[in-house]
Amino acid sequence: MRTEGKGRLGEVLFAGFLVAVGAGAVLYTGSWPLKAALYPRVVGSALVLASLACCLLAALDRGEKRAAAVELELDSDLPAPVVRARTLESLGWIGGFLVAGWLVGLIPAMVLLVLAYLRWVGRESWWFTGVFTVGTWAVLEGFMVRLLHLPIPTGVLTSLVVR
Amino acid sequence: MTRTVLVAAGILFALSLASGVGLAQAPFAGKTVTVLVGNPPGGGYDRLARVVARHLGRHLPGNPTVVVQNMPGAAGIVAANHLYHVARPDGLTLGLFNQNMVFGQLLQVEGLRVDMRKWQWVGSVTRETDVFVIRADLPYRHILDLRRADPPLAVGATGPGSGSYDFPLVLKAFLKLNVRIVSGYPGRSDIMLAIERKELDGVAGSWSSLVSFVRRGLVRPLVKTPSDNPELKEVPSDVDLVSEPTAKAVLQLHAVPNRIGRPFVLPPGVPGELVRAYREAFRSLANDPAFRQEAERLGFEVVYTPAEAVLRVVDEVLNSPPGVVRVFKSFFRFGE
Amino acid sequence: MVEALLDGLLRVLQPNALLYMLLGVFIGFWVGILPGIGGVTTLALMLPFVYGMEPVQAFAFLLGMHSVVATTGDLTSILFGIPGEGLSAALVLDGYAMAKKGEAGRALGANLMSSLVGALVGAAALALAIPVVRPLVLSFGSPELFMLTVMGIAFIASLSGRGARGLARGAAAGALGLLLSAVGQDPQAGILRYTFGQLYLWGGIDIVPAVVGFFAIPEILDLMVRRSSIAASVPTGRLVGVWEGVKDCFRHLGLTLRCSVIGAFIGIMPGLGGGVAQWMSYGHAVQSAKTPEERERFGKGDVRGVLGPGAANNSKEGGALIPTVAFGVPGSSAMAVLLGGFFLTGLVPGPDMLTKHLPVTYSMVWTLALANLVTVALCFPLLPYLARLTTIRATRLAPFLLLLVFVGAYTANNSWGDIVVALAFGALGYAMVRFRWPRAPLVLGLVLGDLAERYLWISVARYGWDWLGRPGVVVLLVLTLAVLVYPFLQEWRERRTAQLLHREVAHAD
Repeated sequence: MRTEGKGRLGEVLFAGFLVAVGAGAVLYTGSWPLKAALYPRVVGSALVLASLACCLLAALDRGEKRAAAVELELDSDLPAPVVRARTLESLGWIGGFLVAGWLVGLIPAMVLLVLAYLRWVGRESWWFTGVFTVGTWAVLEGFMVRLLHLPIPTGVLTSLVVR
Repeated sequence: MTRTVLVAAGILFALSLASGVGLAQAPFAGKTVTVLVGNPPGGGYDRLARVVARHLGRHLPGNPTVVVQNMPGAAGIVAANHLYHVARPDGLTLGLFNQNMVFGQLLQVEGLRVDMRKWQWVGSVTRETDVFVIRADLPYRHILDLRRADPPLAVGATGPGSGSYDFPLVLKAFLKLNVRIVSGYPGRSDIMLAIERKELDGVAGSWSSLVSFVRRGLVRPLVKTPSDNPELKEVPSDVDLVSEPTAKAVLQLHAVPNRIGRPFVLPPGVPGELVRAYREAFRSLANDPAFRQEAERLGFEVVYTPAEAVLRVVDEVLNSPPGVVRVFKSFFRFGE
Repeated sequence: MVEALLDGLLRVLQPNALLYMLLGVFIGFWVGILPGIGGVTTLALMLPFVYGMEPVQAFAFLLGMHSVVATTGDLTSILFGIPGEGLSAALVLDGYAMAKKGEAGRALGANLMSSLVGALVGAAALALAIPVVRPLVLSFGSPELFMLTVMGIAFIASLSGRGARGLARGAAAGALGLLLSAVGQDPQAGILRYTFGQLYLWGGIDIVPAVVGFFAIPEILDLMVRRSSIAASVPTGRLVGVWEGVKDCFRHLGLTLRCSVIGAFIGIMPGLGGGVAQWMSYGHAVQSAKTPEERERFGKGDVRGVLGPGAANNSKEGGALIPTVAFGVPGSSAMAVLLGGFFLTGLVPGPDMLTKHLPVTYSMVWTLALANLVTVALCFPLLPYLARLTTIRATRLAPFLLLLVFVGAYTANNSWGDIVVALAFGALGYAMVRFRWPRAPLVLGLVLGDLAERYLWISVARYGWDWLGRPGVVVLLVLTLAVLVYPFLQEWRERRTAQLLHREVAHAD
């Protein structure tokens, strides 16, 4: 079973990236005393060698069938363009959530995420969305902050305004 | 529909005003005070913060709830930076940091964005002493016997920057002791186990963290930093054992933070009346018998040091003569 | 000793102690499941309440709470692929895979049962170790600990794929993990390695957010893309039951017991930390596969991959109590908090606990056993309902999973840095899964690398090169080579059998 062309290039690049990381790590230890430098040098060199091997094997595409690792598989029945589009969209949601969290605090961002995601991606009814949004807010604010005093960040903009 | 919204908004507005009014009367009533600790849960600082938190509320006007939050990182620098620059100076966040942080400033550690003199110090309720201990079954009775130790004593340490590394290093140099520092243990627990199995012969650390082992008879203290602690009366202090003035000054400098104990601070910008309230509260806390008992059970030596004394000590450190600082730097680093 | 044992049991069965234990179990149950509240932090929160209590009651409460967290923390790993408590990551590999196959109930049942077995073994270890605790703990010096970490690293070979390409990928992943564990202040010279001026990295990369991001984010992303439910690939929608999982535990009792012993043993050594136990037992479980084909089933939903880490996670708690009680040296960060409990109730941990206060020590053993029994009894009825969570549509689940991951990451250390780490590792994990690189070796490297380096330098500094001749070291070296070589041996044997068969068939024609 030959891996599709795109996947191969990706793997070659990824392995190549790791070769660079390993080499960089070894070079970076330049001025360190031996006691601090020995371990990173040994391990960095091992990384360079192993990644080079991966890079070559990926380029030549040998032995893929047997290489199946002790691992999860990201297979999907959906066509590739759909997968790509949805992946980007999902990354957008995650990124947006975190940026919002940074700006206005994790709790408002969380509430917004639940609201927006359930309603627009999940296409749930307003009722369903409302219940879960309020529930999320209650658990986060009431339980985690008020009761347990967990440290949850309040956001850069919020602190500017309140000051 | 619009009317309902307006009424609701009006009620909310009124409520928020009401809570604002409440603020003027009893500053802490109904509020939560957070003690920010620059160390992870389970360690000595965390334990102290929690026992203080349990009793402090009673001594503050309005009896607020006091809770502890951990913000470990870079030996307390992360938490210190946060409290100084990011946290709101509303008097509801109190900080408890590494007592050696003043050295961080002295040694100009990269990343520390705090001027220790600008904190509004509240004071401290404990005092610390550093000790160097050896395994009880070893034949050496006096610290200077270690000059002739054969084979060299193996002293365990976690890494440069920690008391377990720096203190033995300076003792070795100034007292000419025949010891070897074996560094790299993941934590104090591992060092103590290594002492149990005779892989190591000694360790240096704070008295409060080693006291249970001394009382149990595993180790015996050989030298201490200057202290009034009655349990350590018989133990010589390091400053008394050297005669050369620079050496004496370096050891005294090292011991200075122990006079601060574990200090609590408020960020600059907190209104003066709140700072005063805290200082008063700490003074009465130190005399609170319930607090004293619980703290002492946990191994802490309860001694009240007022804010002015702490600030004096900080100034003393930061104004140390450059010759002394140079020698100090060759032994001591700032770290975990 | 038997009287002390019975005395301890009677003390735990006092109504007060029992009540405190149940309260602790109740609190621990929620702490394990909910994000943001860690077991250690909660222990520290609860500690002050213990002041003035009778020792048996105090520990019934604290240990009751603590022992349950390890069990319920596993639930999110299996159901959602999000490592609970950060130390249940090994469970994600096979547990979540089973959930995806519609076998969530089975995985949960197997995990619960193996957790119980593990906890009981851990408690037994504590009880039995008491007479031999000194020679036991003291025979493992830094050289032996070094060999132990090397042995753990050797498991990378088994967790990689097969063939040259598979091994190369595993080796690269492992090497990357080993390199990443070097970030932070070096313990020999105090140099800040690879921190690039970031204060956050002084202490190195925090394992918990890294592992959570590494495993959970690719899976959540996958879920958001597929938009079906977790157990979507199951055609009929029928979920395999919890009882099947329980039976599995007994079918593989030998493995479960062996992994419990591994966990208890590793728990005894404070420096090794909890992360090591689950991965070593996972590696051992993988190796117990008799043929390379069987080995391939791991990572895709083999129940043995759930039994091993599930048992070790719980047994290590019993192990961690041993140095805490016998030497006053905490065997884990939770134990460090627990030490405060000793002080507050007026006890001095150390030899006294094994002589004068032996019944109190045994009461702790019984608390561990009973608290886990109670937890299992309470959780069992819930499992089928929990398993049904895997049938919920991804779009309904995704926002809450993100909450679990990111709120959990932040509140652990009150730091945005942890979120950045989780994201970075999430990206790395996603790339690795995409290109079919194994993730487990990287985690092994990350967890064990720093420890291996430390113990190596300590051994050399303390013993010169003589330590290589120590009997313990030699034994462990042999074991390590065995671990390393085993997958190749299996491979070679299989090829030989195939060749022989081939020849026979050729002859027969």
